[in-house]
Amino acid sequence: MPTPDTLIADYLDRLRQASADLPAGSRAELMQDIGAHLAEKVDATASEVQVRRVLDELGAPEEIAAEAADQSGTRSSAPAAGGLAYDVATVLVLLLGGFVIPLLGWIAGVVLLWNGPRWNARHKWAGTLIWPGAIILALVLLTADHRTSGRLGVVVVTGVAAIMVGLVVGFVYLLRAARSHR
Amino acid sequence: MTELRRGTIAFCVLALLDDRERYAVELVGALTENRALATGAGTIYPLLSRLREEKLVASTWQESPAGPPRRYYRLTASGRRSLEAFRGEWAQFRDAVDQLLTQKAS
Repeated sequence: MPTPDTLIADYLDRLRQASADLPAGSRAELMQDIGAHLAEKVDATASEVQVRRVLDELGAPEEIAAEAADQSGTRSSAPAAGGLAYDVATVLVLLLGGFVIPLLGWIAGVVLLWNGPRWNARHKWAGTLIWPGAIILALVLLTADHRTSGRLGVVVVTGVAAIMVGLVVGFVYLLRAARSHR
Repeated sequence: MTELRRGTIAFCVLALLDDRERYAVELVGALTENRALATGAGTIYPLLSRLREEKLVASTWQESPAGPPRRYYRLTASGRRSLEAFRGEWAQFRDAVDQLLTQKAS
């Protein structure tokens, strides 16, 4: 005769197997939630019948796992409504955050960028390298400055203009890339 | 779960959290009591995960007076906005569907 403990262990085993295709995080969360549910509803004195009732009420593990797969399916096929807001905020923080909080602002932008669901690796790398690229360009121009000290003003203006153009191009590039995946 | 039921149950969960935070077993109890949840109670957990991921609800684990810790759910500001929007839409939708259904019956 099965004991309440083995009934629960069997149930959780079936759930673990049925949910094998879920992303690891979702699966762990589901196991934790169902485990907590059972801990809440079944105490040490519960009889076999009581345990069976609780398990029946929960439904078949396969049904729960299928629902979890469906829910994560809805998640990936219907991006959150805040998609545009997220993309614009990301690009703004990435490009301008450094002016608000030096370095940290830019890092925040990079984190947002790499968490963005609508950019592929190429876009993410391009976005990450915009500022380092601009700084390297500025340094190159500054060393050039020393050599052509006669036209210092021209070189600085050209450098600033080049960086501004680079930022605008980066801005448009990232938002267009995101829009094509929305 | 059908899309209609799934979408609607999500808002029932938000509505249950409107006045106070609750833990999952409480939510399941309230939903099964009025038979809103036609499927196994366990299917509420994937739904709660999604609501959490969409930041419509937030959750914290809390000690219970007796027994194991419980995960309590509460509405976020954006969950509250979604609920309010749904209340308006639902009333309109329900009236429109009712009207069509009774028209057909008569």
